[in-house]
Amino acid sequence: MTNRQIRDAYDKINISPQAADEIWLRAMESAEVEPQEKGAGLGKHRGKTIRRTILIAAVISAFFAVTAFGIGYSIHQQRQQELRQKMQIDAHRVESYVEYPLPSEGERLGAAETEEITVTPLSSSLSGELIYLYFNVSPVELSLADCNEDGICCSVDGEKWHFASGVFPDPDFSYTPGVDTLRPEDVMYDTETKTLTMRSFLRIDEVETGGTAEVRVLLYPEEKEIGRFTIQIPELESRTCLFSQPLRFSSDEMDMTGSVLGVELSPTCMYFIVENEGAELLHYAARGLTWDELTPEEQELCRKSNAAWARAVDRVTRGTLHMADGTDFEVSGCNSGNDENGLTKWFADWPLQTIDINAVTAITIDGTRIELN
Amino acid sequence: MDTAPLRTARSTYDIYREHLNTVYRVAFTYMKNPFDAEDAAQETFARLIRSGQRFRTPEKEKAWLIVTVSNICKDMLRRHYRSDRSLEDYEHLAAPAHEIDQTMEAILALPEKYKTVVYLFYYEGYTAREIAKLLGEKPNTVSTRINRARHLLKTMLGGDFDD
Repeated sequence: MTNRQIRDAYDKINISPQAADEIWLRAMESAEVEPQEKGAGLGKHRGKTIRRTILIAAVISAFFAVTAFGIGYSIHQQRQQELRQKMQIDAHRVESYVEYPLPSEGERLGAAETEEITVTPLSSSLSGELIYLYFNVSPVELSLADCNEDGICCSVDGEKWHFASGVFPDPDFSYTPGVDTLRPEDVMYDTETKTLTMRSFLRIDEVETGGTAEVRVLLYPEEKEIGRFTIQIPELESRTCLFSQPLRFSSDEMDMTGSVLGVELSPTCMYFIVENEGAELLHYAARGLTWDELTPEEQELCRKSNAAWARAVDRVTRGTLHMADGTDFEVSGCNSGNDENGLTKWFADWPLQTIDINAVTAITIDGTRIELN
Repeated sequence: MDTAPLRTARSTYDIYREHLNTVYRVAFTYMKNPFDAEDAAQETFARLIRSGQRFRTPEKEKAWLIVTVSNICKDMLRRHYRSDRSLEDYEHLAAPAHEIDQTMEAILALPEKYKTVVYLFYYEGYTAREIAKLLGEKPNTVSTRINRARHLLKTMLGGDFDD
């Protein structure tokens, strides 16, 4: 059984008694010799919160100072502006990011006078295999941003539903539900109007590129439809850079080689294009074979090679993008890979951030810097 | 054993004894070697001591430790280690004190994001919804990760992995 296999594997991982004693002593020392750390740890979090609050306040202040005469700006416009600035949409000239106007009362499902929850779309962002949706939900409690029994889901076909969560402006912010308490400043939440800005997603294969899609929004556990809105699905801008020399890599543990042939860059994501020269056997499913159709020798080789090869690929499908202005952008790893004609395209994305794809001058992979054409 | 005169030391030591292996196992799946896993475990308990954290239930205690050690390992990997060290790099230091079987090899090779959910789902027996609460994710995100991790393990282990 699966569970037993994995439990058995974990059961074999035990710390030695000697190390156990040492760790305790070192932990105590570490905690003791830095007495200010206790305060510093809290201060660090508070400092981040204060900085984040100041930053948000500054963004809002700047927004009002520059564009407003003091009145008339809704949460809708404010949040659109914040998201736009946060993702650097203008600075990075992202054309596939779409903003939506505030719908009229008549267009909104769940009219305000009935005091029911309303949903208003803010924007959508294309990211290769996903379309991220940003929208306001009001009036709702802050706890909806947390992960609890209630939840909001989105769907285009009424069959595949994707949960929404609150938008955390700080990508490094982390919390543990049930242990930490979520505060209004941690997410985009307006306490006066009880408006929560949320993010959900659709998969690109659920919609038609170049067209539009109507998104249905449901509130769980009631399974009550609280809104519908239409989004546009533009083409995702991309820049394909094939390396002048493929970056060869191998598994030190097994006699297998591969090559990174190039990368495909988009503002919100990228693909690593990988050729599996010495590892074709491992991709037997892509060749239409099942495990049982492999010979015993091939099965044995697969068993031995898979973990080693996965490690080798993991090493070369993360990297640092070097920008023309001297800054760097870390790509911390790929989420998934698609096999196509002997090549694998490994996908990585970075929600709530964008890059200027034309400003990328080089990439460093596995310690090797490669200039991009 | 001498313990430091921190007011939480005694209860913290009880927590330490009870959960050290849990913390170490999670750390090992991220760091892939016993030495860095020990460092991560040490930092986890140091944070527990410094924070003076008290928990309402043992379950919350364990949850806090698992989430904290996962975050510490991810930080360590991003800041210092950059994933280019493996068990083989440490063979000259000492043999691991434990056996790494084929299944563990496959778990070690999983992308970071799957490791904690695999541990929580398969070893600790949490449901997807409970894991979602622990990690601050939506349940379907966790379900997707469990499914993908299962698929990856199956691919890596081939016929040795039964659904």
